[in-house]
Amino acid sequence: MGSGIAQVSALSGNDVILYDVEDAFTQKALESIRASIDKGVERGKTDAEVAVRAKDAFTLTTTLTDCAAADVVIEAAPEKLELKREIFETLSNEASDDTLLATNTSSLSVTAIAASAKRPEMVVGMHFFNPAFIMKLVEVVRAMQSSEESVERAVQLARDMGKTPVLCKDTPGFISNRVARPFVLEALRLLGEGAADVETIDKLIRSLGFRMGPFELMDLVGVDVNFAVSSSIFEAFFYDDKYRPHYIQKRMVEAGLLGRKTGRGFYEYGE
Amino acid sequence: MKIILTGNSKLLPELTELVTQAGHDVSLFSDFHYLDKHRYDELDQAAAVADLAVDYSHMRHIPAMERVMVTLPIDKPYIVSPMVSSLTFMTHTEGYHVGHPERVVGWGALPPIASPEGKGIVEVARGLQTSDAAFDVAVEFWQSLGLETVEVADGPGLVRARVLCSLMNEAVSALADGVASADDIDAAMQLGNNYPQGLLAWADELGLDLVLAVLDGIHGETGDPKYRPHPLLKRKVWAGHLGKSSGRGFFEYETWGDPASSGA
Repeated sequence: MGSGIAQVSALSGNDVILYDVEDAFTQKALESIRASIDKGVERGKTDAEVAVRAKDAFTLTTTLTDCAAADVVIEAAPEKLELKREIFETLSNEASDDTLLATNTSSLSVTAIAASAKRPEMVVGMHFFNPAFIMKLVEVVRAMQSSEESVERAVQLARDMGKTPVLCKDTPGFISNRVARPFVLEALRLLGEGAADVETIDKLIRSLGFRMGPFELMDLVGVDVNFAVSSSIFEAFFYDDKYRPHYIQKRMVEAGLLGRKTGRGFYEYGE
Repeated sequence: MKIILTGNSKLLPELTELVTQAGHDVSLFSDFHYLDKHRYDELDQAAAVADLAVDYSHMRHIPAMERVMVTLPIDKPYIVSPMVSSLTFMTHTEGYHVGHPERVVGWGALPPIASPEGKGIVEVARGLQTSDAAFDVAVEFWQSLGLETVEVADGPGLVRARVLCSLMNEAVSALADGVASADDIDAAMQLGNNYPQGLLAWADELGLDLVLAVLDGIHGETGDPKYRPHPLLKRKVWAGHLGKSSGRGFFEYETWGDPASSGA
């Protein structure tokens, strides 16, 4: 997700410091960003001049503290709390008092991440959606410690990037991941009860105007990925029944039937 | 065929049109509350010669529906909608058992019946006692309207209403918990998850009383706390904020619907 966010940042006129743990990763990220920008121009979605500037707007580094020179830091590291806390602690110690520190976490507590920063009021969540250069939504998450100013800055930044920000409290799943849970969970329950089969449920849900049915969706994002999100939210809400995952999904993961990426999930995907 | 159509949903006008266009004779009784004697006579006459009765209401004890059950000839199918309780439950209670449960068939749709993708789909379900004969007549009827039928198992809300109302319940929960504003919750689902509509605005369109009735039905029958309707949804309905038809739901609307047909 980091490269997508970096791409959006560059395309909206910013200079970007791109950090990862290894040179190979940052190089690869830059290549894919440039390729993606080119595609955007080809499809007429991106202005050619903007693209030229953007492609050269990157500085690559494997030294984390180099990022402290930025006005805004957007962190998109793996979803591990300790890792993110370390990053924010290190960066906030080096950064200026005015640096906005944003985390792209989708499932962790922004409050917990902010608590490790020297100035927690400078930390907010900025949750982008995949792929970041297409999806307009950014959930701006207000941690318990976030200052009003930090929140406003994040909202404005999202707008400047051409995104539509929504403002939410730091709660499990924020808005989108939480409210979407029944889409898949109810479908699994109906399947489990024998109410209808996979194709029928998908067809019925699509008839309501949804682009794809719940099982098609799970196969697309990864049955395991979807299960991980459901399990995380279930736990974060202290096992509230509403978010109860389903054993069918767990069995699918155990069997390695993860969807498109393994050639088979609820549907089969021939090569 | 001669069809007698009863109910109290905004889905009925579209259904009436579909039935008429298909060449059937339809008598419509969408009266909400009690019927006066003149209407009862009209209904009795229509039911006595009907080939089929269809109902769509999400409340119990609708006078027209109960009356039809008594006056419709016993060999004619009665197609009802298990939106708020399963078909088997309905045929067990409500006095249906005196009306021959084997002739009762379930159907489900949400307004608009015609899908955005084109051909409308109707869910059809059998209760534990539904006869094959009645089921077959019902399927033929829906198909005669140019609708596709999909068989699903009996249960409150069938498939679509159950999934959709569960989603709406969660949106209400996020609102009530102060996670975000109603506008932002709706924007997030459309822009982040590509939902066709924001869930709160959609609930306002369906009618918050319908959404609550579906959830109450599932919760009541399953006893599973997962389906507990959110208190905010209940309060909105008690306060008469039923959505678009009453001028106010989670959002406010300029035009008021006809009070006599408030609710989905």
